[in-house]
Amino acid sequence: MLKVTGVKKAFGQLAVLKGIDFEVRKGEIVSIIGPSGSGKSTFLRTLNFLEQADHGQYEFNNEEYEMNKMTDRQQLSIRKNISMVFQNYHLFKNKTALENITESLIVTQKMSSVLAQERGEELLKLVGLSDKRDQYPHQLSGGQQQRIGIARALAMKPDMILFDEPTSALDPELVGEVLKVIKKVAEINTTMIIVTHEMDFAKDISDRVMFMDEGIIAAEGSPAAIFNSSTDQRLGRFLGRFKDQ
Amino acid sequence: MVNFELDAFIKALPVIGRALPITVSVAMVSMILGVVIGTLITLMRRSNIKWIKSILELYVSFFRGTPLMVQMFIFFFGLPQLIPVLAKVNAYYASIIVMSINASAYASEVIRSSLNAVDKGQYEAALSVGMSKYQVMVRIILPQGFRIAIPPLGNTFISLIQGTAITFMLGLQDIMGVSKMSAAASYRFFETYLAVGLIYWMLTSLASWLNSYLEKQLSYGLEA
Repeated sequence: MLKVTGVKKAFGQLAVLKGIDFEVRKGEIVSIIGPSGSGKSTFLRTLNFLEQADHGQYEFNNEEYEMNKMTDRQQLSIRKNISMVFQNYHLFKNKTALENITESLIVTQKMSSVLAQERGEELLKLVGLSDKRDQYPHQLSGGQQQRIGIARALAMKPDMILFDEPTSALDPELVGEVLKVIKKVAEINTTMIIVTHEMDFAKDISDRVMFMDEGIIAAEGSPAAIFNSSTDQRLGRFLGRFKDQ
Repeated sequence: MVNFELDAFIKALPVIGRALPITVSVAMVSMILGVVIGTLITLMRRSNIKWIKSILELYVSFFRGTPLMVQMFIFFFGLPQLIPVLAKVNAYYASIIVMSINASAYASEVIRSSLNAVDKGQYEAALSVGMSKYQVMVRIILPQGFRIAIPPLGNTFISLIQGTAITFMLGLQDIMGVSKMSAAASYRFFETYLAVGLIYWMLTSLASWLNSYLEKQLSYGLEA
């Protein structure tokens, strides 16, 4: 479904992505793990063009692009098929929970407000927040906001959803409810790429795990291969920190 | 006895008050035009075209960086020298034109910082669900940005009201112009100028109250 090759990105003198080759098939769930500063989030964000890659080939649904030569229109059109869930939720503060979900349907898909509302309420039910439909983000807890964020990402029936450390900003007791919803999303066979620090979750949900370190993919494979039997030194050190907890 | 005639003070108020429509209309029209033009300027300043950005930054810098009186004199007394047809513009319209341009420069800065105050995350989130930059601005950023801009724009308006005081130098018979004539005629300087001062105070207090009211109304349903 999506294939990128040779993705490079530097911020001034600092090279953050040093040539990433990555591919994901329809329905696949890939987790990206790695230390802070390894470029995981930056890489994820180049996939929906919130960061502009300096170099790279981008192939999506059989269309190929040079990443540093894409037009706004091309990027906009791809963004209608790839949505994102953010670490800090980033809900629209001037819209209610339901409106956050229906916003993209009404504005970008020109759906009638009646149909949009129906879909919105369906999704609110899926994430377990039907009773919060008319509340504003500032009235919701972090976990609730994130669940609305996931519903919002699902609204447009995207080909793929990107998760940028979806639980990293949450209090520990709220992490579980969000992971549960992400698992539900996985069950409906959406293609997902998840940057996360929740190792058990990544092991449990992924078809494939990617370990990034210092701007490159240092190791890649099935969850079993990565978490249990990898011989990569850097990966071993990284996972060692989690084993002690 | 103190040389103050309460009678003269009280009599001055309605005399000056008759010129209120001029002062109020200049202030209000200039404010509205200033905010509209200022918003357009702010949005255009976001463009990627370098020369547009530079010209607009120059515009904002000049009109915020020179005294209003100087701007008025250049326009009313100076420009007709270059463009004779401009001599036909009367003091009232000239005042509105200059004050609108002046207000637009201040308003542009206020709106620019207010839009920046809306967190970038919401902007990115809107992009991520396939909205165009235009749609994001109109539906998410501008509504929140304007709410944030209300208090500082209120201050701009209060400055504008006070700024109208110099229009008498163009010959406009606003409250300041009338009070100057009235004081010269009656020799009751202190009473007359105190009266107009109180009237300005009343105007700015009203503007302050309106500002607070607007701020409160727009916050309904949203946190502070």
